[in-house]
Amino acid sequence: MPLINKKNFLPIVCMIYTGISMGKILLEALRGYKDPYYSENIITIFVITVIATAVVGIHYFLQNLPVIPVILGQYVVLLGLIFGYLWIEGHFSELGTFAYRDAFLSFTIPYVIAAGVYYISFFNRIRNANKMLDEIKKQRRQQEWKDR
Amino acid sequence: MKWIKIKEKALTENYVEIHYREVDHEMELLVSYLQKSGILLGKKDGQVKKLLADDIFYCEIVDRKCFAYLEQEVWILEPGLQEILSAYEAAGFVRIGKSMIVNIHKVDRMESDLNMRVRLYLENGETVILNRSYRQDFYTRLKKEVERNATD
Repeated sequence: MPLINKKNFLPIVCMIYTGISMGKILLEALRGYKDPYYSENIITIFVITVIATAVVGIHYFLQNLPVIPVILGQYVVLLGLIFGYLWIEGHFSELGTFAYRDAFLSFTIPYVIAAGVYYISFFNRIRNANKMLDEIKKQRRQQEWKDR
Repeated sequence: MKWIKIKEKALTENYVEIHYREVDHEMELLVSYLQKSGILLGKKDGQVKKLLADDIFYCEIVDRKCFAYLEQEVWILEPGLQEILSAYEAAGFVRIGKSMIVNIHKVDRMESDLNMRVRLYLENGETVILNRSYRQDFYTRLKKEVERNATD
C-alpha cells in the first residue's frame, strides 16, 4: 500500500509545510535575520513541498526498479522542477543573487540525509532479520529435541 | 494428556488418531502441529507424489502452473499460490513476489547488494529475490514466527 495516497496527500503537505516554515521562522528569530524575500520564500517552500511530496509519493510505484537509479532519478527530477519553478518565478519577481545555489543546498542537504537514513535503516533491518532467522532455527532445533 | 505410541509393521501408512473431550490449548497446539505437516499432491511426468508442505522450499507460478521446489526435485501442484498460503501458512509460507512464495523455515540467510535488492539464500543453496513490495510483510512474518515459537 502506498505511504502517500490521494487521501493523505494534502495533510502530509500541510504537516511538512508547517514544519519547514516553523523551522525557518525559528532559525531567523535565533539569528536575528530579517528575510527580504519573505513572501516569495514562503510560496517557494509551499511549491517545493507539494512537488517533493508528489515525487516521493510515486516511489511506491517504482518498486520493481533498482533503488539507486530511483533515488537518483527522483533527485534529478525534483531538482529540475525546483529550478524550473525558480526560473518561472524569476520572470515575475526579482530573485536573490544566490537563489539557485541556495535552492540547491536547501534541497540537496536534507535529501542526502534522508537517503542516508533510509539506506542505513534498510541494512539494519536485514541484520535484524538475519538474527530472527537464526532465532527461528534455534527454536525449531529445541522443539525437535523436545519432540524426541 | 496421555499418549500411546503403537508400532504396527503391517500398516501401509502412518496415521494419528486423537481422542478428546474438548478442544483445549494442548489440543489446539497438537492439531496446529499436525496441520503444519500438511500434505500436497505433486505431479510430474504422469507421476503423483505426496509432498510434505514442510519439505517445500518455495513455490513459483510459471506459465500459469504452480511449481513446488523441494531440496532437489521440482513438482507441479494443483492449488495456486494463494490457496497454498491460506492452507499452509502455518508451515512457514510467506509471499516474496507476485508469483512466488517461500518457506521461511528453509531460508538460511538474507543479504542485500548495493542496489538494495534483497536475496534470500535457501538451505539447498538456491537464491530467490525478495520483492520490495513484500519486504515489510516478510519482516512482520519473521517477527510473528519468533514470537509464536517462543510462546509454544
